[in-house]
Amino acid sequence: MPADMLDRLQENKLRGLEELIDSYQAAAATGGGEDEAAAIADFFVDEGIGVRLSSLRLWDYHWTMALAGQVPDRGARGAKLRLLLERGGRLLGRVAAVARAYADLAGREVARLAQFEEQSRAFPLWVEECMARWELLDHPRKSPDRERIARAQEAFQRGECEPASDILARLENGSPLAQE
Amino acid sequence: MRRTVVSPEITRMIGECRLTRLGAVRVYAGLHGELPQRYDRYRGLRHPEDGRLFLFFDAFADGDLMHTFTFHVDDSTSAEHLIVIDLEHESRQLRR
Repeated sequence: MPADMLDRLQENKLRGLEELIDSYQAAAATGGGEDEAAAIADFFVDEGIGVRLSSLRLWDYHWTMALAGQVPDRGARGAKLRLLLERGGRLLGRVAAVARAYADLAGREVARLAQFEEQSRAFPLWVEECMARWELLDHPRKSPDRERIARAQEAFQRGECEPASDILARLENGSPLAQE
Repeated sequence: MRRTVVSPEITRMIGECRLTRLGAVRVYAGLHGELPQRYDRYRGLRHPEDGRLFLFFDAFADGDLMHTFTFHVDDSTSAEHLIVIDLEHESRQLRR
């Protein structure tokens, strides 16, 4: 499969919602009943959350395959993946806008809409982060620094290496990065 | 699950990467969380010149910069630890 099949499934999912949203985007301006508008907003929030989750799954699947060395043409595969994720990102923005328009029409807040709007805004940056990772796979490797390795191993034997969890806790408490 | 440990030299190198506090939190959150949790995924990516090491990747936006990290991790010295031995860091302006 499955990478191609998964890509096609995602494309179909995106296309379906893109077509749907085209018609509802125009209809949002014409008004309608408040209850119906709230239900439509809720529907789009649901659909948007679905697209976001399927995008996360798509990335996770491709990344896992790439780490396992099972993506032969990483350049082409990465370009395709970027297109799909960016297309998903644009769609999420549109879905959030339409859901907001219907929520405004309904005159009340729609559950999960504010959170979904926030997730939609963050999504393009997440795509950039994913693709920056992807590019690292083919980045030229620095040769191991033998002296640094020896120093790190000696530090470990002396018990001078610090758990990442301790440094993280210190940072989250507002303390300096390095141990005093 | 293995525990990630970092030498003082690596801590200093991370400190020189011009990260905000939030950026530094993301680095250590990745080393503490994702690295051991996804160890099975990453362990196959051995360093081509030193089989004792594998590679762990991280990338995130911090302010206007995209930071990328390739960590060299030793999983051969201790069965209970992942020792961060070295890192490669780059940053570039974010496309907006």
